[in-house]
Amino acid sequence: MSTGSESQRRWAGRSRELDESVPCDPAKLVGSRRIDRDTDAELRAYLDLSAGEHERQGLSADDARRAARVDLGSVHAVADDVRDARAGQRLETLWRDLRYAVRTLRHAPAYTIAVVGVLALGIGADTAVFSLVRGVLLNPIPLPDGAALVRVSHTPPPASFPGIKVFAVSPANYLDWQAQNHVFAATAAYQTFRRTLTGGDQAESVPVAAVEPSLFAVVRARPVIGRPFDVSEAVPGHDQVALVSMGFWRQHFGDAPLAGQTVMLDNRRYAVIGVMPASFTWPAWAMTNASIWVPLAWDATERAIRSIHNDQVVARLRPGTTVADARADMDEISKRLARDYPKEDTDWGAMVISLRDLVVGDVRQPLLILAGAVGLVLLIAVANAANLMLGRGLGRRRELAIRSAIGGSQRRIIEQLLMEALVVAVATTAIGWALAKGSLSVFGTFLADQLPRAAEVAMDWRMFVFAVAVAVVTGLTAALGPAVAASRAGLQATLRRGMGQGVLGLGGSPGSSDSRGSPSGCQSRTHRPRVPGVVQQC
Amino acid sequence: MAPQTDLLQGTLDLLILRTLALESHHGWGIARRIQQLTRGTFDVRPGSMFPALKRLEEKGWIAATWGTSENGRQAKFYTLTPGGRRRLKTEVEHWQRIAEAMGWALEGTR
Repeated sequence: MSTGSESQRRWAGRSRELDESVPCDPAKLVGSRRIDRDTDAELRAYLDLSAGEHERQGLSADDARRAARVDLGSVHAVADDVRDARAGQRLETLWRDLRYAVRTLRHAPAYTIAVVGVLALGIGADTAVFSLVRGVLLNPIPLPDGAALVRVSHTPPPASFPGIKVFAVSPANYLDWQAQNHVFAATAAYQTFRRTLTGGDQAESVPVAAVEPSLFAVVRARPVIGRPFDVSEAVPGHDQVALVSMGFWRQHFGDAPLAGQTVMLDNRRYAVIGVMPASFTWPAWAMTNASIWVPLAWDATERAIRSIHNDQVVARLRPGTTVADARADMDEISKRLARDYPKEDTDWGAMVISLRDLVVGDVRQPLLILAGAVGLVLLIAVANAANLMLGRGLGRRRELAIRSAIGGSQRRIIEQLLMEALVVAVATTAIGWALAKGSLSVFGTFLADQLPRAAEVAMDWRMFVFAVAVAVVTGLTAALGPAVAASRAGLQATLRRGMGQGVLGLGGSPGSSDSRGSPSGCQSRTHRPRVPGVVQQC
Repeated sequence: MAPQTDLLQGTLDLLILRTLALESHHGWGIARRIQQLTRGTFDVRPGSMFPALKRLEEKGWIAATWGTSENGRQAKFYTLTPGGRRRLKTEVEHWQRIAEAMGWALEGTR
């Protein structure tokens, strides 16, 4: 009995120093100290007045003060609510939560590094590889409606060219294909080569493409400055006009006006009539990767050549026409040509390949397998991180129960946990982004000659956002699950477990009479209408 | 012991303004006064009282000064501002309309 009243006196004495009474919630001690002091002083005055009233009703000084304490409930909870009533409070609370979260995570470096590292690796790898797959496989042709573009080529007689499946085309055969087919909306022949650019300070070898004027209709591209080639310019003697790439234009002409500019190729002067947009420069295809385009000009003699194969052909399929349709049509034409020109065209067939397949080649399957593999890696990373977070959440149930007991509302506690998950997510996102970016540039450098278009692959934002979203949702679920479960399971059980381990430090030394759950001490500390079940249990 | 009735937030605001219209009070005094005025029906707990006071202060309807309480301690005293007086007037009219309407609606249920 004597220890009981002693503890009560100690309790009463402590209540005069409200600021120091609860050392285990650092968040409460940060920020807006003046207003907190104000509220504390006001609550202290309330306690005095209330105790005075109880004393007048016949209680002893100690009992009156204790009754007043019970009346008031948790000082910190009330002070919290007063703070919440102030304008601009939300921002301050967020800031406080943020600092607390960073500090908490700093105190658990192994956990933080493990979770952030695992998730960042998963997100980074996933984003990089899916960007690669997307860039190389799914959307490989940066030309309008590029899926309808096909390359048409000869298949040479197997007897003379064993093993060779793709062969360049001769002008006369091409012109017959163009005239007789029923499957192409437009066709264009072209050649790519290098020419020596002279006229500047020094000679320079540049990639050049000679193209039929119809090319611009086939690939659906136009110069950003100037005009495309006219049919009249695909005639020897009228063909000294050129289009240049945006890169070439910037490098050689800068801001100069287009009119009157010329380029010298192999000592022939070409008038520059236009500039192709930068987006037209697509390194994977020699035709689009040229610096200068000139008209492909055939005279009558050249047009009649059937047995010199020098030209490439690109065509646009008619809407609704498939590559198989085109192959069937071209087979018919080839048979007819072999019949009509047995000397030149016997056993010369035709091949239609989608430009996309041509560019992507045979990397499709390995890339898809890789994509599936990193998808699994992300799953494993997320599962591991969830495991870590779940473990941490379970380990923290005691801390959460204590905060709840000294008046932290469930909303505030969950906000705090969300903030912690958010800090982890931000760190993860930043590192994952850097990893994805880094590995893409490594891919670009080392795979450029093995993987088509690897150097051009840009980071896929949708994939990145998806990976981050998966990680964040998992993290939140894993972090909040135990917290909510703990608050449901009841404070007392959790706290008891905690006291057994001597962690509860708010009621003086652990194991002293008043922290061992004397009914009075319990009630005055945990009296808090918002925490269900506590008042009744005490 | 009087039953503790749940208070709507607006009701508490109105009660506080009404109490302060009579004279200035500190938080504890306001709570006691409300208890008296409502004949013990409303026992306003500190957890509701102090946030409400802060809210009303933020809105400029009441003003706070530190003074000496009847037991000789420093306490925060609240006074109705002119804005608070106007607010009280509209709140009272509003409340009376509601009470009247509820009266009509519930007439004869006894």
